[in-house]
Amino acid sequence: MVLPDKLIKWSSVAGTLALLGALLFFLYDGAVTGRVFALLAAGLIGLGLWILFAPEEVRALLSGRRIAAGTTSLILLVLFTILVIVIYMQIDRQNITVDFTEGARFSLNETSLQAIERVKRSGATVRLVAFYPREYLRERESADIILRQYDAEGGESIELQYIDPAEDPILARTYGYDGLENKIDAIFATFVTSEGVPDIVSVQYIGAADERAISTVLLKMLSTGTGKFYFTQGHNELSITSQADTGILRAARVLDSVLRIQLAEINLLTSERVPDDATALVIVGPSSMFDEKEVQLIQDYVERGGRLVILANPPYIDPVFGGANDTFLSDDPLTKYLWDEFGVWLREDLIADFGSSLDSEFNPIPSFYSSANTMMSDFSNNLPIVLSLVRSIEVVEQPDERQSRYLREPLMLSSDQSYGETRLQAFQGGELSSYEEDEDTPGPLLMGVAVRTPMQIESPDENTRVVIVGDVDWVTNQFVTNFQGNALFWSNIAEWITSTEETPVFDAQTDPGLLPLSATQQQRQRISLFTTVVMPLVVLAVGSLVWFTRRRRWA
Amino acid sequence: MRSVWVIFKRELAQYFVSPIAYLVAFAILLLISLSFNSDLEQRVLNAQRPNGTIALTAFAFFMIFFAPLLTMRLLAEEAREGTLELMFTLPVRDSEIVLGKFLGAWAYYTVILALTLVYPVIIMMLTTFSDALLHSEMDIGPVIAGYLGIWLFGGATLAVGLFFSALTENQIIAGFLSMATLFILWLGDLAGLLPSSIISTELARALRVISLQAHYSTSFVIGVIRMEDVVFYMGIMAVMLYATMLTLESRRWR
Repeated sequence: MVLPDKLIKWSSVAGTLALLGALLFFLYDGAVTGRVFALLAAGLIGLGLWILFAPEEVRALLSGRRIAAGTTSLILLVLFTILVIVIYMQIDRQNITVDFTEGARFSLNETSLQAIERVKRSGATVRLVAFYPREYLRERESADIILRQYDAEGGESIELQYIDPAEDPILARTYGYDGLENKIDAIFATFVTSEGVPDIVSVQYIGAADERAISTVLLKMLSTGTGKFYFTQGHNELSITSQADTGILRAARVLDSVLRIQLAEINLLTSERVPDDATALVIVGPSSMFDEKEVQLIQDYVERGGRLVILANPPYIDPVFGGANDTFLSDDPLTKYLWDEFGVWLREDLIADFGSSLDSEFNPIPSFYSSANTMMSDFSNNLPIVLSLVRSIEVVEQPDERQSRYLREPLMLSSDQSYGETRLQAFQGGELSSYEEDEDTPGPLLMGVAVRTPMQIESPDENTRVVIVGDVDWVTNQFVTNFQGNALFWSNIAEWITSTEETPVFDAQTDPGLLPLSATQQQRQRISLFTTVVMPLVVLAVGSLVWFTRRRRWA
Repeated sequence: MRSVWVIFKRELAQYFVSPIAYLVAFAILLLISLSFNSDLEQRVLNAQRPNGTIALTAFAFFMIFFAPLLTMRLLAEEAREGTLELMFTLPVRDSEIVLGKFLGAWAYYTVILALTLVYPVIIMMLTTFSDALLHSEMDIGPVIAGYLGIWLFGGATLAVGLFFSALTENQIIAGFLSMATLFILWLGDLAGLLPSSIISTELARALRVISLQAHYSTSFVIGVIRMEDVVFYMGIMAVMLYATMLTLESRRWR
């Protein structure tokens, strides 16, 4: 079969154009779509016809000097470009950055490096997931300056993933990305399981690519979900398995299911030591004294960096628990230890608060929640903690050397209409209470206290933390179920006791706090005159001079 | 290298006797000063921190239009007047011609860039020599990084301009083509803003990677030098100069 020369020539042109079209549509569609395939096929057919029916023309073109040199040049240029791209990609992976800013604002602070080191030591893998819609590619690039440093410093322990929420809306919703309030700067952190999938339960919202926010979340993640609480037994403490109103099963479930803290029981009378895996030792409502041996075990545990939670009822009188409570009296070894070590004394009294909005003055609602500790930041009159039959707490005013190692932070106070009733055995006998100036303690009275050593981020595991509350009822099934504030308080105590520090301390140079620029009106006018008029005109004048000089020379 | 030096000196001298080079310098300084003074006024009135790189951001944008004016004549004029053929007969390699001309243009660009140092100096004088007890301080780091970045950025734009100058004998066409190319490379930074029905996300990301602005506005200008950005601009220069050299070479066998 012989085709006309004109048709053969046009088939080659059409084939080339079709191939170019296929390339363009491939770039446009981002995949081999139907039209890309059709144009590709048309191009191959057109060029195939040309090769088939005009082989000598093809041979002449390919063996011609022009095509040979042109092809060589093209191939060389393509190879050279590929080489440059490969070098660029290699350098890009190396993450070589020099920060010229004062105080190295775009480099990781020592605190962040320590936080990353802790992630590595923990053996966990954290994934930083940054949601950036395609409209915010530039913002993503800005965020990458900080995020990539976490990725690089973290090695295999910290992963970085960018997701376009429009491309993966289901995953975005899983992380809690709503696309409205946090349309940009939506960065989350999550643990990654050994199978390499994100542990969605552990997701934490970071917000913007801010170093302080990221490091804070990393530290927070490390300190939650990894704890193990040991609840003491042997002194008629409240049971973590009891569903009765006086049990603490619901509080235990908050620890177990929500905060993922392991729970165990321990009888110090029969134990050699508090296990090393104990994040905290929890003493909830004992009604008989701890002996010297038990207190020694507690002391040893605290000296190893252990943490304590003590919830104590007033002595003698709490009818819910049988009224036979003789703990934390002045001759109690544990009471003495708490004073000698931490400077905290559990008074032998009962708070009567006539400012309480509840039906009894013995059911006080704190009138003051301290902002000194993050545990208490959620509470107010609208979200109160409800207590019942509370003993007051005293903290040392002039701490000795041993007590000075700790910081004591008041948590909550009764109202100024309260006092501490000390005639408890008389009260137990049914006598009505009244304030006796010589014997009772005037309010407001401390009902809970937190004790901690000053923050040491280098060795966070050695930061002792203690929480002592002068009531037990508030954490029982009955109270935790009925009062939202109580459940939250228990949860906050657990988070605080397991965490290291909520806000890492950064060097001052991270926030240079530059003052605003100032210039007088006269200064600005002079600057404007010089830069807008004088400088450009001088350049123009020199140019004119050169031009006229050369013109005269030509003439 | 001697040939490169000779061509470099000749090209640089050419700029200093060319009225268009002075006009370009005049226009750049005028436009940047307007931008600078406007920013200064806003910062003072709104009590904002001093920023020594404001002039550079404007400078980068203006180079999209002025780089072609500086390069359009470099090879196109030689080709039109026939002096390029004469150069081919001399014992000078094509790469030396390209390198000499490029370095000449880059040196002239460096001189214009040096003139803009007056803006950070003004900011520094306002801060350092302030009579106020408490006065702001200008962070010099972003200025150093910014000038390095804009210098490399300028080199890349000039290399693109030189390539188009080698493609045609018509200076206007060379200038127009390089301006259009640089403008597209500049706008690549904003590719993500186009709806996905027009451009796929992958293509938007790819366009952003090759965008001239993207490698400057999120790193150099804030005081951070990323090695990949340096390599990007050097790479653009290398590829465009190599393409220019091959284009010149093609005149021998065309």
